[in-house]
Amino acid sequence: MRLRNLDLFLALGIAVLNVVWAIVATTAGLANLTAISTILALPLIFVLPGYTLTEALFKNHALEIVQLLVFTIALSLAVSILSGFALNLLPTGLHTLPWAVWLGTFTAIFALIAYFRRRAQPLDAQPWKSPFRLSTSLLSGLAILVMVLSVVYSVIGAEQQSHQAFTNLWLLPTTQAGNTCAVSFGVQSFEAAPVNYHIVVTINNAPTASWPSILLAPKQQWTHVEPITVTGGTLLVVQVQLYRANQPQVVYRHVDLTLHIASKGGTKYQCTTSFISPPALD
Amino acid sequence: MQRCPNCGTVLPNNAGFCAHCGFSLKSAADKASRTKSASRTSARIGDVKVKEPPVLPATKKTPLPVEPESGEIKEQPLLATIEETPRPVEPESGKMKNMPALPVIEETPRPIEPESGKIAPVPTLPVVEETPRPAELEDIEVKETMALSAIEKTPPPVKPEDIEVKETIALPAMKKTPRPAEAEDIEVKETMALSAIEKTPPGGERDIDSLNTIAMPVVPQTPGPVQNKGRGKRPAPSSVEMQKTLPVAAVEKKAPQKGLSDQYPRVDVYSDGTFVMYRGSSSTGGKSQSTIRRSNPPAKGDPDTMATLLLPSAPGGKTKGPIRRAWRVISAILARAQDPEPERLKRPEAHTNPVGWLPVLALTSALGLFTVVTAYNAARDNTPGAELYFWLGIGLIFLPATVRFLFAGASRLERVGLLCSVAICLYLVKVTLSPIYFIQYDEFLHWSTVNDIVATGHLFAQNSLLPVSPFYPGLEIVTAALSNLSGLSTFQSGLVVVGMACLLMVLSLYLLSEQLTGSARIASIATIIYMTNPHFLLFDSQFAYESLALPLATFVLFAMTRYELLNNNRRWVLLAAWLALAAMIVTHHLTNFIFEGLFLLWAVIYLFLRPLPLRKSIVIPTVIFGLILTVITVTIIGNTVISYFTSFFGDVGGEIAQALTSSGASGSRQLFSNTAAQPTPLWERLISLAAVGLITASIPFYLLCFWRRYRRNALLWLFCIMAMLYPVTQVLRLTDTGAEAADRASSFIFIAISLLSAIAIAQFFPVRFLKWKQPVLICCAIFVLFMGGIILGNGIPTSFMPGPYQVVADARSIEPEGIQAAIWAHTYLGPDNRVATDRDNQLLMSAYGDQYIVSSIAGDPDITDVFFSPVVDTYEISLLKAAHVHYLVIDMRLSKGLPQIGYYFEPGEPGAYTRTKPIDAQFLTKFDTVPQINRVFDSGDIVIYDTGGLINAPAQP
Repeated sequence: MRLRNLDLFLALGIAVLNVVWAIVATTAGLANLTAISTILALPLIFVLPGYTLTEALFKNHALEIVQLLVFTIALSLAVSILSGFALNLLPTGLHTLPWAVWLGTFTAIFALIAYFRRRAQPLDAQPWKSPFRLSTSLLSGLAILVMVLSVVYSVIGAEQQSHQAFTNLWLLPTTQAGNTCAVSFGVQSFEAAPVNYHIVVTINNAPTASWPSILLAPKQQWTHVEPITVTGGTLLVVQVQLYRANQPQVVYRHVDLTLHIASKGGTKYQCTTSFISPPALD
Repeated sequence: MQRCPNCGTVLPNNAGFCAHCGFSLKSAADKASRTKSASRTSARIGDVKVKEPPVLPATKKTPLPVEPESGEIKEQPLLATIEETPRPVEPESGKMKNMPALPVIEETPRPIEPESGKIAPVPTLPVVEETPRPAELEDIEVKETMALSAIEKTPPPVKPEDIEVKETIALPAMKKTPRPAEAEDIEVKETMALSAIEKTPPGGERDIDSLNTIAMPVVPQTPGPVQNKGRGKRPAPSSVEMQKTLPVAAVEKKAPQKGLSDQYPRVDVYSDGTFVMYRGSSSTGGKSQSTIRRSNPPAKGDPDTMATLLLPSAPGGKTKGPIRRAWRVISAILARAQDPEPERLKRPEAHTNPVGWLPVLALTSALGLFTVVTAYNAARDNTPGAELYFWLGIGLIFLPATVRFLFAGASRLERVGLLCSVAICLYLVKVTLSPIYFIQYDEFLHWSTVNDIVATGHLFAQNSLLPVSPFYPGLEIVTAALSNLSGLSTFQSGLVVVGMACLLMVLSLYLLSEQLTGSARIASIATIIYMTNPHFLLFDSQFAYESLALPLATFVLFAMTRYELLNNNRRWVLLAAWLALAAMIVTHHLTNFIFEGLFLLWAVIYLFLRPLPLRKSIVIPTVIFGLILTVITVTIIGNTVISYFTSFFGDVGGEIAQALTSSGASGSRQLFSNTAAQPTPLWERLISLAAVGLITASIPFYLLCFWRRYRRNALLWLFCIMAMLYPVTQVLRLTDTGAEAADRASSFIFIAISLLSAIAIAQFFPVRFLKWKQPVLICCAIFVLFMGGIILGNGIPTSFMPGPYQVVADARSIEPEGIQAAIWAHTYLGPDNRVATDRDNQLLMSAYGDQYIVSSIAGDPDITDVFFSPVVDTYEISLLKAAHVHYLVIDMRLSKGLPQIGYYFEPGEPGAYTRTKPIDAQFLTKFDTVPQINRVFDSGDIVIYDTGGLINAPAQP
């Protein structure tokens, strides 16, 4: 009796494990252990609901192995898709724990139905025998290994593909404590090797700040917030120019910002890029 | 398991009717029992033994044994029926009779040549030939035949014309009137089959019964060649192809109540087309075989004498020459198209190892995958010869399995395993194209929807690039579920989901084909041919809703077909089908509409054919259920699917109208030409044209096979209609939008084409005639389809393989600089800003940047004029204001080349598809001159402008 329903108990066990793991992972901060989560989640989504539903629907082993496989995958996908609509109606939404509980509950219900429907069936005494011998198993394993190696090889190839190197430079308005005007700018290098940069900041074409040497490794980022002293007028044009140290005469990147200064009383100003009258185009 | 007496389909034990032809098994059983009881009233030649108790009662259905490992039906030995039947009992003693020995079945060790040590060839059977044939041999033949007739094939009631025709071949007449001429041979052929095949009205149940009666599955050992050689009148045929015995019905009618007499003629047919008719020896012994008559050798190139035996004579009686040869070819084609058992082997092969060649061929496919990956890596480094490696790898994946499928030796387990192996490898061909992030256009659209679901925990968020996507979130739901539960990224989760869908597609199609044809071989060939459709390799393997909806729809088709065959468990199959149908409906609109249309057509055909009472069919309830769900889905507030389709088909119709009305070729799309892409090499053009031509030219043969064998099956009627749509869809390739429609349609039409192709291959190349030439020919044709499909659907390999950046080329335009710009936008600008940019940066800004993309498809004003204007003037500002564009993302590389897709920003932009010169760089840098437009980001090639100051400015007084 126990062996006959081993598959159902296994399904039930995996469903319960998923729920437990979802609770533990969300509360104990173990969500980054993706290997365990993946091993548990894959059967819960692609196998268990469909398999237990198929076993509940069809008695007396009405489906042979390929049909059972197809029904399992198709019904699992169907149950998962339709469950998404149901979860959407709940305030919990489509998040980790609701998913685990919902699919686990369905699996348990279907397994229970299958269990009771199986009670009237005769025990299938014929044990399953693998058609694979040692040699064929080794060859099949080798085939799978080659497939995995192919994927790994392609990942290495894609990661090592040479792309054009570049550097990001940006400039944005910001506010500082005390409602004074400021701009933030930064550099991020995606060059193939470490690069030494030189940055110059000008306001209304007057140099106000400069960083003659900023050495950045690939993917390294440098940011800075520069307060702006308002001396009068309503418009400030802030420009940031980036040079490579080995080519100091050539502007490598440049960004600019036109700020609208609005007084908020006293020495307080508000700097925005909006509500600026369009230029006199006519 | 049992077989349909009408068409030979393997059916479950509890099936009450055949899904192929709708033949009622109960009526067949009753008919068989009636025939059996009637047969006892008269003595027959063939059923001396058959009338004994060992003959199974007609109502008793013996289930075919199934191999536990593979689930395949075991090959049935010829004497299986005899062995399983109870032995007759002597009435006097009540003891069982001793059954005669069966010497022919016993395997005799073959002699070994002393010189070479090899097994000597056994071309002749002198003992059997020279001596009277033992009675058991004749008995075995007849027993098997009659057992089959009793269980599966019920001979039709004999009609007067049949009797008349069969009298023509009565032995005395033949002996008295020697007829040496070839034309007369054909007359004999006609007399053997004409009444049964051609004179019966087509479409009737009796028609199919007659065909089954004519085709005799008995293949005894043929002693003919030795006899011919011994007489020295004519060189003996090199090998014996097969032997044709007379139909049982004919023997019964002309037998003069003498038991197995020597008047039973036997015809040996040889591979060169000649045949010899013998007076057969009998169980009475005494007489050896003697030749009654011998035909002259047929004309050279005779396709199939066996086939011509079954067909009417040539028109014009004694006409010779090309007309006659053509008629013989046509006759052979017609005969083969209706061969009721094309899968029958000369000698049944026992599957000693159900796994067969699976491990070796899986390894071959894996090596093919590795070769393709090598080609990709070579392409990434711009190494020449990458395309050659690609085709080599594709061939390694595809061809060995295809060859294996063509032969009958593969078990069902091996076929299924090989299909999975090929499908997985082909899917990995797509995955390894870009194994670290999405690169296909459609993948980004759905990725955005997944991101919204994961972020908000709810459905129906806005997707600016594909507004209809959130209303069909099936794929995204499963991906979000996996991503949530496993912690994998959306990219990784998407790959797993689509991989499972790919597996489901292949297995569902296999089972559907197997269900319809009853043959694992045809099913595997059909599935491998489906893989040749232009969208299988890349498009239907990408992370897009059709990739999941199509497998679900195929599963629904399979479940519905299975339902039609069952008596028990029907309502549960119905439930399963409807569950999958509901999931499909909420997954992809186009698949839903197409399959709803197909179901509707299926229902109409069903109403005409009425293979079953309407209340017993699943078709009409499913159509109603599907239509109700479709209406609910479409009428959800905000669902833009109707406008989505009207705009698409409007574009197609407009382009077709333009192509038809414009003079010359100016209005139509030029094939194999792209203003930006490199020209398609001539050989690849020819391959793709050959693929289309091959399918189009094969359609009449599909229809012929269908009409001859499956015309009672409503679903195959539907498939034929779908197949006939194929040439129509190819005409659409003459327009730009229509070409996409043609490719999209191929995923659906190929379900029909693949199955009909496999049936045609099975019919015209029966396994008993397969040498090495035919499989090679078929494999070459299928591989041409595959290569042509890849080129038609995706372009030449160099255009979709990895490589350096190309301007607006979708996959080749997705590179780190654009990705980093989008990530920066998300980090520093925040989500949901209104962004206007070119086609490929739209994808990146939407998926990586989580921005709202201003586009026509989302109902925003068309602002492409802003990009093509040399200055920012009042009109351009008004456009930006109207569309509330907050950020402009300008890729300076646009000015360095023509767009590979045909346009830079939107399909309706000025100069789309016809541009011959790249966009002017000055058009792209003009925003630097406007003070109110801020240049906030610069990566060298990509510049982001903040237009907030401009669009939010108050109007000028």
